[in-house]
Amino acid sequence: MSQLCLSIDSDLANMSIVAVAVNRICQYAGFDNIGAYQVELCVTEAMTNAILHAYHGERGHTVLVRIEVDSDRMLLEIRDNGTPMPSDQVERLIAGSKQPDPDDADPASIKEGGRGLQIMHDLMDEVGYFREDAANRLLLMKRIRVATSDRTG
Amino acid sequence: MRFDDYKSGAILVAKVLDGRIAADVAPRFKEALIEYVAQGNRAIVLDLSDVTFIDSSGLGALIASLKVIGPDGELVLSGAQETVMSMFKLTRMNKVFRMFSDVDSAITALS
Repeated sequence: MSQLCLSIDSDLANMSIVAVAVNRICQYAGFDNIGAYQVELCVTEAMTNAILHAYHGERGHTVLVRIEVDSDRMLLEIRDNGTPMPSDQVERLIAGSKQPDPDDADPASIKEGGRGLQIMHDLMDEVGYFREDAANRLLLMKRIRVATSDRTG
Repeated sequence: MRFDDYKSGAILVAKVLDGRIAADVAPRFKEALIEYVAQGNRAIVLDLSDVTFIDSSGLGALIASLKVIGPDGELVLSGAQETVMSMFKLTRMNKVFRMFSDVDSAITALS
């Protein structure tokens, strides 16, 4: 197992360097382009939530991203010390919500925001949220799927 | 946000020159698109071919712009890379936005 911790100040402008590093690490770990993008997307959504919601957009706080790479999976922990995630948001992250298809006839009815938690739910194999010692720990796990040939025939 | 834009008849073609559209730039991205509409553009092709990353904030900015241009206008997307397209499919926004493989196809469809 390899492990790396990245720490940034709670400024949205700092997210891209972490996101780009995560994408590259994903490719090194064996994810294809889409898989690496999906992990990068989820860690970006998690950092955005930490900065805008846990820290209310204030700079000067720490967001920690811990990356753990195993042979068959990648685990990310996004940690902050801000406001806890509300229970309905935790529910959406863990259980997801069944959203109807957007009505392409009426764009006015489509929400502009609120997709981040659902995206994490949909793209990760496992997600978790824990409040411990005044810290919010959001966990994301995605398995590395290696293409194998079909030998059953 | 940086754009490279030109007119093809009544159609505005705006190419996004920044590779990443995430929460840090999404508000400025939205403002720029709304400004194009405010200038009177009613048919806009947004060329995403150089965009390598878009998150839910970027998607939200596009949805906001689609609302501003309204049912009488057209905001279509072109050139989305495979990774970016996967985000539209995941959120089913590929059903909301008209998406074309390249700018020429988009211009032909709007002409």
